[in-house]
Amino acid sequence: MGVLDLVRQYLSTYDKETAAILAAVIVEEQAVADIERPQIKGRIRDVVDAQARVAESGDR
Amino acid sequence: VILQRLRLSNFRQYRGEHELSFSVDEEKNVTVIRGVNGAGKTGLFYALNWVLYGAEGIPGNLINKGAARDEQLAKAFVELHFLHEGNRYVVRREESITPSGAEQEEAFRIEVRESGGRVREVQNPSQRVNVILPKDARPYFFFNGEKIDEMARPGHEEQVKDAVRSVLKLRVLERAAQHLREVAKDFGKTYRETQLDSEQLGQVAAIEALQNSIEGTEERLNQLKATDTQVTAQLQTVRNKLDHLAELRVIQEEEKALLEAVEPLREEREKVVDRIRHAVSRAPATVAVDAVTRARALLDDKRQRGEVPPGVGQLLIEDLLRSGACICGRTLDTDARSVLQERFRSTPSAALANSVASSAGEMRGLEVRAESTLKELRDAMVLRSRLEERISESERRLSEIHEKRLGREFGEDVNRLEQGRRQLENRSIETKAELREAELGLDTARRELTRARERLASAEAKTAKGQKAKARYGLALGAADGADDLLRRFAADMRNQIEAATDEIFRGIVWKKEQFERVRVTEDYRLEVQDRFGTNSFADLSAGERQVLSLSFISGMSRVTGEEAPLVIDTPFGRLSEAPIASIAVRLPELTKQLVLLVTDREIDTESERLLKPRLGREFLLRFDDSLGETRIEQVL
Repeated sequence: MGVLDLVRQYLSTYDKETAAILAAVIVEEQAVADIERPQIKGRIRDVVDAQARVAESGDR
Repeated sequence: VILQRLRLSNFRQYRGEHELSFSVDEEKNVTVIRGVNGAGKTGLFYALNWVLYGAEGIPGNLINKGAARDEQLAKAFVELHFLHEGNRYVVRREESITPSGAEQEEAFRIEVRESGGRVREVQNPSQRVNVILPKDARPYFFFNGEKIDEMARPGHEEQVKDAVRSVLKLRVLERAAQHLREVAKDFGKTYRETQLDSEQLGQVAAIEALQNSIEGTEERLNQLKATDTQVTAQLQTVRNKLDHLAELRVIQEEEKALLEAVEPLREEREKVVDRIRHAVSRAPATVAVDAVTRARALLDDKRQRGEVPPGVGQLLIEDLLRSGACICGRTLDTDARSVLQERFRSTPSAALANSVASSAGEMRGLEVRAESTLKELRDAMVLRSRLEERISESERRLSEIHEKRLGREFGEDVNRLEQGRRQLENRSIETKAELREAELGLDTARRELTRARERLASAEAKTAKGQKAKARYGLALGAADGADDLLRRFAADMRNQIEAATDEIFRGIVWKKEQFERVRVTEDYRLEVQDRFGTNSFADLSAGERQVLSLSFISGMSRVTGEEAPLVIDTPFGRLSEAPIASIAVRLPELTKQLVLLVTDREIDTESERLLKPRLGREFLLRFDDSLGETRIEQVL
């Protein structure tokens, strides 16, 4: 078990949406390469957008 | 990470290709590489560092001097095989000498050989290495034992802090929070830019007004249509009435004409009837006309036979005899005279003859009169019959007219109906004009509504985008706050756990067990050691004790984080005396998954070697050929 697995254990203390975003963002931040740094914001934006869509579909 | 194999060629004092395999046995997880000073222990240590992180921090040339001297465009490479998360990685870095004699890196690549047998090359090898074994944390798994105590020296807090942040991946959380805030800011900007402006709000009001107007116009239109239908029906009724009245007028005129025509016929009929009556009054004479005719025929027959002398013949004979000449002028001869005289003598008397002649004349007159009366009677009766027929035809037509008129009397004034018709026609025209106007107005309002709705839809789409951005802004901001909170909580928890682990390990290894009460890791990651008197005795620690403290801290971090990083220690016991070496020899293999010790002959004594032996999996000896200036690697275990 790595550090990020330890981090994920904390996510259950947050609301579902925040936890989902944080989990995805942590994966993106960990995986992102230096040369991809300019793209990380786009990826995180996509993460937030995806979670918002999930929430919106739940609202419907 | 579990190191499997190291291959190197023409690297530092290792000319040609060399290879060693690390122990991967969990129980015997220690690999010892022995060598005298200068034999190449540090060269191997550099080889591990170079293949993963490059030449930074490695002094001198990398390519073997002999190879560089003997081989044109000599090349060196190091290849490290290791296991990570179920996959086998092969990291290879190559260095070559350019024609100008300078060294330059020629290649750096990583292959991943997945458990399923698939082999693929990693696109960003530096980044991948940094994810697997962060460069900042390198001092915590590849380090020189003689220098490790620097970690525990005052003034190195930032270095320690950076390393801890790297090992604990706190930088990942820091970046997550930072980027989430930036993304939230972007969503917030989008939200602000897509708010409804006053013009768009005005559009909403205009649409509401148009909708109200259309509803009113539609209602008005329906009323007008109902009125139009009603007026049209009324108009049709009046027109029908008027048509019926016109027909009635024609009938009346015909009736009048018939009445005017039939009256003379009736008068004439009366006259004819009078004529018939008059003729009939003379009719008895006609009854005897047959008998008279027969009587006259009898008299004529008698006269022909001379039985009834015609008075006229006797006179004529008398006249002829008296004149002595025929009526033709010729003179009567004797014979003629004798005949006439004879005839005169045989003729009845003149009175009788006259009486018969008179009777015959009267009979003839009676016949004539009777015929006239009959003719007159027949003519009158034919005329009466014709008159009766004409009168009857007129009366039949008058009867039909009478029948037609029955039930067709409206009792309404035609003028009033005409006036009503004109009023209704005017009203119909006005209604239809209003209808057309209302329909045009409705059409215009609907078109305007469609345009307004399109504009509003565009605005609403913008607003919807804004609402979405608002929701995402909230999510991103909440997640950023969560990341900050997570970072604080996680860092604090980890620090507490690392402190506890470091304290336990340090007090397990350190030889002056009674002197040290507790190890603390402060919030800014300074290491403190409280002595038995409760004071911080950090400044009083010996170099060996600082080395043990640093090792304890590194091991504590490794234990808490669960990271499977191997410990590769060059000269691990250089500054330690026998007691701590023995203690470390026992404890250190337990603190990590894999331990690689690069030691001199004098670092490990017999006792320490005995203590380490149960965990020893592989052992190599570095043999340096002084004549060649090269080192060979011999596996002794």
